[in-house]
Amino acid sequence: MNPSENLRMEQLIRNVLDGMNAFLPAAERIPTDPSTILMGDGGHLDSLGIANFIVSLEEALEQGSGRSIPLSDQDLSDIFGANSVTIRSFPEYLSHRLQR
Amino acid sequence: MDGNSIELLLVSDHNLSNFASVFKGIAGGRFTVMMAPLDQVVPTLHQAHPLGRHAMVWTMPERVSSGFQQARAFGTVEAQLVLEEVDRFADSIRTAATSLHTIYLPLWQIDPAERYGNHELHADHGVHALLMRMNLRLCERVSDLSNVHVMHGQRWTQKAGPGAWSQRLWFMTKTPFSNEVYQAAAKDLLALADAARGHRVKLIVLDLDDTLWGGIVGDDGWENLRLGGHDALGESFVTFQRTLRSLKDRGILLAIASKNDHRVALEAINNHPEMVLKEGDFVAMRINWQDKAGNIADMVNELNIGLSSVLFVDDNPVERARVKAFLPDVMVPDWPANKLLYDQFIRTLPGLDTGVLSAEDTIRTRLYAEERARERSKSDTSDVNTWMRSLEMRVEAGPVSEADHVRVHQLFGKTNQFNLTTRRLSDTELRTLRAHPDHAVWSFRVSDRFGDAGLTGVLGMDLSHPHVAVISDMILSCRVMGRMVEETILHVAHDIAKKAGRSTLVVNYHPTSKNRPILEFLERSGLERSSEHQFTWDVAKDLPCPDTLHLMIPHTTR
Repeated sequence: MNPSENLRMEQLIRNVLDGMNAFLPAAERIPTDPSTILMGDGGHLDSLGIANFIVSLEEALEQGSGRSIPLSDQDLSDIFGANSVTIRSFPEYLSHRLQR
Repeated sequence: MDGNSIELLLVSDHNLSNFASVFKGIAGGRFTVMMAPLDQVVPTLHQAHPLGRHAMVWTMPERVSSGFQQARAFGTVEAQLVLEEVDRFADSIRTAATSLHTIYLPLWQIDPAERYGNHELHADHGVHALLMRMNLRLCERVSDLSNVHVMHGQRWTQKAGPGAWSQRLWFMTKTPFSNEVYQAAAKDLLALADAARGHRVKLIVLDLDDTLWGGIVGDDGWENLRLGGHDALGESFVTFQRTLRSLKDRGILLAIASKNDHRVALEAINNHPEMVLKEGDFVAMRINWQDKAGNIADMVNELNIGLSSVLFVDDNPVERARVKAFLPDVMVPDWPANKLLYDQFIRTLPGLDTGVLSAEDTIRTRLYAEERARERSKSDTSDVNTWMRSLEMRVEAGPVSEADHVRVHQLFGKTNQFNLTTRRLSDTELRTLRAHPDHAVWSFRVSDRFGDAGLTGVLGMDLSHPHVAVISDMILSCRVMGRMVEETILHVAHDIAKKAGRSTLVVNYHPTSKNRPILEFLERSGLERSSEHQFTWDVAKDLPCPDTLHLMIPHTTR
């Protein structure tokens, strides 16, 4: 992804997290600043949270692009052991992951 | 108890973690949510539960019935066998209902988009038809349990739209529904739980122009109002009024707060042939040019109802904003701009669930009309005791009978102001208490020359201690408060303690945000205050019955 695509993706991720936060009690909401660690060491998302996030992101990508961009049917098991993926680093991570 | 967090146990054969989060977000600290072990539904239902615990039991039809699972796989299934599986599940629910305070039971559903061929609704072997029969059977098998609320889950998926069922989340986490479904479910659950605890709408205050009818009666004249007839708008107002009348018949009071000329408005109410609601359907009216918030406060005071039990309905956003600002406890929904949607909108509002109806519910408006007549007579009499004697009050007291049970349960569930502990007993807990040899549960019926207020008081006594009789429950409907029925209940409690050979009568008050009236009564009752929340009385000393009323105690065994 080029820098502008990264920024667009970062904004999309924040929108997805805002959407998830809308359903959560205040104490469980996920911060949306770029340095927020989503997964890995110190991550805000547990395994259910990661699944919710992936599904919501997939739906948002579909709505945004008008085409199917499947994420949830990928083998994303290494996400759960990933090293401190932040909102800022997630687009790069995902890009690498999907190019495999 | 009021003000304390309620324990809600989520029992399920699928992942309800997302629902738990959504529910906590909506309910705040009012509930402590706990998750039963996943897919341990039957064992959880059969275990003993602590007092006061609520549970939501949300299952998938194919997990409850292997026959149904087979039917979904296009196998041949005997419907009777499937229904027997439903019966076994219902038996587990019945067992759980003996120890849980309340059970919330969403109906089973499968994604309606799933197609099962041309015969999917065939009465004998259609999958969708079979699911309907399962749901109906479940409803029938628990319908006699007042603490089991079957919930219409289809409403939630319908509201959530096409994304309600999430195959992605299902395969990844065993979560079948989207958060939009859980949000709708959480709101429904909260409304039901609030209703079960007595937090519900008791009074709907209505505007008139463009709310109960189309048009401005002062400008258009009652003959030209849009109400009924071959007119979409007129028809919608008639339908809206019918719904309001049915709410009134379920015990919710109606009142009017309208900026209008009183005479002109009443002329419309009484003369328009399409008016469904008549003058007698309203317990109070403030039709004048004064501030509506003040008028509402005035009516609420007159009717002795808490502001948080009031729903205000007005098409005018300015009036709504004014009432919201000055009476923040009043429920003021943003009413739809399109008048055709009024009826649909009010049917979706929470807080209008009335639970089990008692005889008193169906005649509540009449009871309040009698109370108004009583108050009018009060103004004719200068001395309060003279006025009370003129009422010719009769109080009939006795142990709670089976016929009284529903009403007594309702008083436990909904009375806030004159309620010693505000403990919300479930139907089963009340039955257990009534049957207990060391407890006495009495009811009080009040009537006077204006009419019969019905069963309006409850006394619970714990006689398990050899020397002390403890008043565990003392409940009085606000309809008869301040008419010496309170003193009469104390007199009866003293009598019970004396006959049981106890030397001390003890009253333990449990404060809530709403039950200060009973504390104020205890403070002026003459009982000795032994601590901040405890009052006592030496049984050897007399505690007389007020001489302003006639107390009748039929022959009793306890």
